[in-house]
Amino acid sequence: MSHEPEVAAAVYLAGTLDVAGRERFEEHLLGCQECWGEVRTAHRGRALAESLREVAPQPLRERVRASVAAASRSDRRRRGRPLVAVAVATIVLAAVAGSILANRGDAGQPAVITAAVASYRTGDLDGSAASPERPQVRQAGDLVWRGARQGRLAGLPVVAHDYRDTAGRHLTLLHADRSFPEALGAFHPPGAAIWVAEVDGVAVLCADRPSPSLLVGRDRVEVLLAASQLGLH
Amino acid sequence: MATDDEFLQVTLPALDLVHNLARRFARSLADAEDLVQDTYLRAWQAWTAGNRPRRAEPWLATICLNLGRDRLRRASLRSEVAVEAVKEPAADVDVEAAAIGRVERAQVERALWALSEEQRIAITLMDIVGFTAAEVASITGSPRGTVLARVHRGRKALARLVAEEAMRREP
Repeated sequence: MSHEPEVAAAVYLAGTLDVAGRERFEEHLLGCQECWGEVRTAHRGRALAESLREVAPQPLRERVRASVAAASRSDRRRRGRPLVAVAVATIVLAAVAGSILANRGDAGQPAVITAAVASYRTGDLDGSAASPERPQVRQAGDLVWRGARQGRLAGLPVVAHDYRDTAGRHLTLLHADRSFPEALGAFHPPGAAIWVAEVDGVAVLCADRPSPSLLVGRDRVEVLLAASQLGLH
Repeated sequence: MATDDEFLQVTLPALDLVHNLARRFARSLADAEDLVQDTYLRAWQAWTAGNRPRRAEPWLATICLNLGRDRLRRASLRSEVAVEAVKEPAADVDVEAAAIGRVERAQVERALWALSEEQRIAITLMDIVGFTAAEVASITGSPRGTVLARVHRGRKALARLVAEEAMRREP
């Protein structure tokens, strides 16, 4: 039988030998310097690795709860709103917005936000032309960067990066030279300098670092994940 | 309909596990915590699509592993400096010379980062997180023998790297 100290020690330390095999190897260890060295060093390495175990900090537990709860609220709103109630709410809000807020678009949202959502839905961007700007990150999960355009959202100059996957899902990342206005009903995840909102059935996320950015996607989970993958914070 | 309470009840007990795994994919605590959050959001997305894992731990570990690898790849693409795996240290280092009491956590952490990515992942999953070799094989998609070899060589390299550093620090 061949003598392979490394393999023998690895199998022994994995703890999967039966009692007889274990006893045989331990007996062998007493007389074999090579196998003993393998086991001793690896055993020490294991103890060192085990010493790195740590308990997750309590604020992280709260952060995970809050982000899952936020994603869940977003899902519920998307699936569960009765159409009549939505229509009534939209009409009321549009009337209020039209009469009171001259600089705001539908449902009291800042015009830039409304325009961003409309652009996401239709794919159109005012004064649109191809942009030479290239993103730092070309892939966010399954979504791959498809191109960039420059144009205006309610007068604000922006560069729009389009990300799509093979199933046709898409996400738009908008960059501007100044901060985007906060959407009505924006939610601020604890411990993060971003806001997330649901506008007209799509999710909008805003971050100021590394540069003023607005991410528009299908739902809150998608934009939160993409923001993290795109390095927005 | 999927509720977040039910989801969190099943998955939050595995938070320590996900946290320990995420720490091996991110150098800073803040980045590791982002990865933990992403893992839970991705899991929630799958949960709402009707995915109910038999056990939450390997399921979350697989999600975290895929997201973590993706991040490391992107980070190395962004960085001009390639991360080179450390070669096996000289075999004549006396491992016992580095007594546990003298070893600082930061030394062990540095040594773990110096291993190859595959060794670091295998050691993390088996020794820090506590999966069996068979579970690690299933999570990483590698044969069990490959996992055992990675863990064994990684442990030896870890012990020797820490011992070498401890000896360098000896007055």
